[in-house]
Amino acid sequence: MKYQINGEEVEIDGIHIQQSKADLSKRVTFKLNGKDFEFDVNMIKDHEGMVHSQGKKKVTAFVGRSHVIAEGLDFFIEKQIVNKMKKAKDYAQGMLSPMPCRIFKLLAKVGDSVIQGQTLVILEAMKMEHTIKASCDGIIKSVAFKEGDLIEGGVELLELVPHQNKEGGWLWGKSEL
Amino acid sequence: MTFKQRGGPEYSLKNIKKILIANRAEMAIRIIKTCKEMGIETVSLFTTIEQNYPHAYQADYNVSLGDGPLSQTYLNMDLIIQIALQFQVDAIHPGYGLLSENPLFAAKVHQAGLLFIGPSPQVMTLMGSKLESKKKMEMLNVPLIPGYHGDNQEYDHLLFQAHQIGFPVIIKASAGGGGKGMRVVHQYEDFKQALESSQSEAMKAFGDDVVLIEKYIESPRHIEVQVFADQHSNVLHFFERECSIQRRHQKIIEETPSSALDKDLRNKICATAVHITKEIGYVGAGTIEFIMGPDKNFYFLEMNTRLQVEHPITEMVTGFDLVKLQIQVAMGHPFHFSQEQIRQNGHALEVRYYAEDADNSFMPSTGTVEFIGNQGLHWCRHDLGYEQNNVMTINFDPMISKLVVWGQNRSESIDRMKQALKTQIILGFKTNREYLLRILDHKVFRSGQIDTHFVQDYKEDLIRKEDGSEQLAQAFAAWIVKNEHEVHQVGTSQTSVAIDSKETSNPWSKLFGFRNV
Repeated sequence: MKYQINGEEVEIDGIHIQQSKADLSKRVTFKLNGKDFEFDVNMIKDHEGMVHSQGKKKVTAFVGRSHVIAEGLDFFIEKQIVNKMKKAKDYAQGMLSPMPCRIFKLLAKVGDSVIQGQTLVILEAMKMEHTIKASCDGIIKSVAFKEGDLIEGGVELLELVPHQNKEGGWLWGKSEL
Repeated sequence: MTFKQRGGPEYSLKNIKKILIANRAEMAIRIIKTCKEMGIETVSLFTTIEQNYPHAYQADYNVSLGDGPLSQTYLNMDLIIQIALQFQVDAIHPGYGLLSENPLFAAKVHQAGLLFIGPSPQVMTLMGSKLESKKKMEMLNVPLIPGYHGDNQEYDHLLFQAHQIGFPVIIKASAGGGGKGMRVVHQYEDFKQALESSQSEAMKAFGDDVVLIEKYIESPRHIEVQVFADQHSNVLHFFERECSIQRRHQKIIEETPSSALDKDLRNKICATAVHITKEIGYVGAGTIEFIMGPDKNFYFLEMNTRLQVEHPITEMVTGFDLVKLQIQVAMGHPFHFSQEQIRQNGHALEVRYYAEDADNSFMPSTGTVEFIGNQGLHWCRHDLGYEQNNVMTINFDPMISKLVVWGQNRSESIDRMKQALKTQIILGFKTNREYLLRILDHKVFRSGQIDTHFVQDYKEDLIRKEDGSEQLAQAFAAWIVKNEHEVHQVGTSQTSVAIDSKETSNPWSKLFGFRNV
């Protein structure tokens, strides 16, 4: 089964959890990326636990709904691949918001013909501006928000359909010839 | 009421029995703490979305500012003064940021017959303008970075000045800081675009696009001096702080004492700061910021006419409560101690917890605080403005809290801070916690040979290392036990189902940590 840990896909199977009869700890076994692991986990408090493995020093962990801090390192774990935060190049093509922000200015509307590098949206978060530029020449097919809207990260802002046959020379929308 | 110290002149005091705190989050909490100690009643302000934040309920009186943008809430001068008058407070403490350096607000507070805990509007205006303050420093023979801070803002003139100063230069917004409106230009070809960009950003952030141009100093160190003046012309300093570790021109790690200074240099820089404070007729707490180059020459940068975020490290090494002193000074007390009685003892470090993804261009993060680690550490202080179940939004500053440690020396402070960052954790969303650990582990940071380019220069070293499968497995094991419901699968032969033990309902099995005696 696929899990996402810190944005990376991890294959974890055969998860088996067994309550210990002696104390509050649980024995967990699973296969992670093909390797077998066995731990005794003791959640001593709501968000604090200890992870023991045979022959190794115990690891203290703080555990939340998706955030784990183990031995001082951060891990963000989710079951399915949610892919809310895509990589930079996906932002460019998909015209996604890179972070939670407010739509400060919309400089393009449905039907506009735009050129690569043209500023389409200006986003605002904490008094700083971020511009979203057209990743290619194309035409705006749809705009998902209006000025003033508050949005999450990884949300599609607008749909940009690339012009066909650039070399062929025909353009949709306004003619620039 | 009048007082007379033995052998001294008579002076009158204004009694402060109630203070309105025109601030939020950890600074509001900070002020509330000292007021409680002094027996002063507090009135705090909060907005609707902050209803369950600690500053919304910890004061004696808590008033909602409603909803809306900052201009209608924390920056709403008339509303705040109206509330202050309604609650019959004696004084308003502006904290830092927000209205703390707004001379119009200070003037309005005075006009309303209330005390403003800070300097006069005149001094605020003077030192609040980068242009005006530098002109004053010139008059006082305080060393300044070679630069142009004149009124002629014509493009040709600015370019001419840049050439005069000599590249590399830095363009700055005269009206504000925090990195907004700042652009470094290494060569002539980049000047035009950098200038336009700087002016545009400055206009949006501060409503003013006047710029100044300065020589850009390589390997600069940010050294600031805490000054304090009472209403009887006594001016003292509480030594320096070094704030060279910055990202995007915002401080993330601060420390005192600074390893850049020896005894003579320290005396010189602190004396300069005291000289400035005296000559401008300052009252209250203030900080004079300097830039120091590798040649040990230091130059005036700016003065912050308020208490600073990083004031706790000064409190840790000198033993003074600076908020208490602010209130005492505002009441009219003269200092009851001398400069010689202020000593630097040991070393203090502060790190700022920010809600951001340090491994992804410091993009702001949001989410709910699930848990805050609070192990008892006697040399550690965590100034928090949020608590469990509070939601971190993008509406306010991304700083969650300040973690401060004290040690006998710098090395011990660093070791202690590393431990603190592993126990006083913030769980629930991305923070810069791990990033701060990487900085503290870096050999250049440990050596003390730091400058304000550290974060940029060692960017590659500070990238997160890839997780080994062992580490991933450990984290996953803890996560799956806490979030066991994630395991239950229907109709999949591959996955095992967690065995739900009947013993968990047996209270005797919950006994943990007991011994047979």
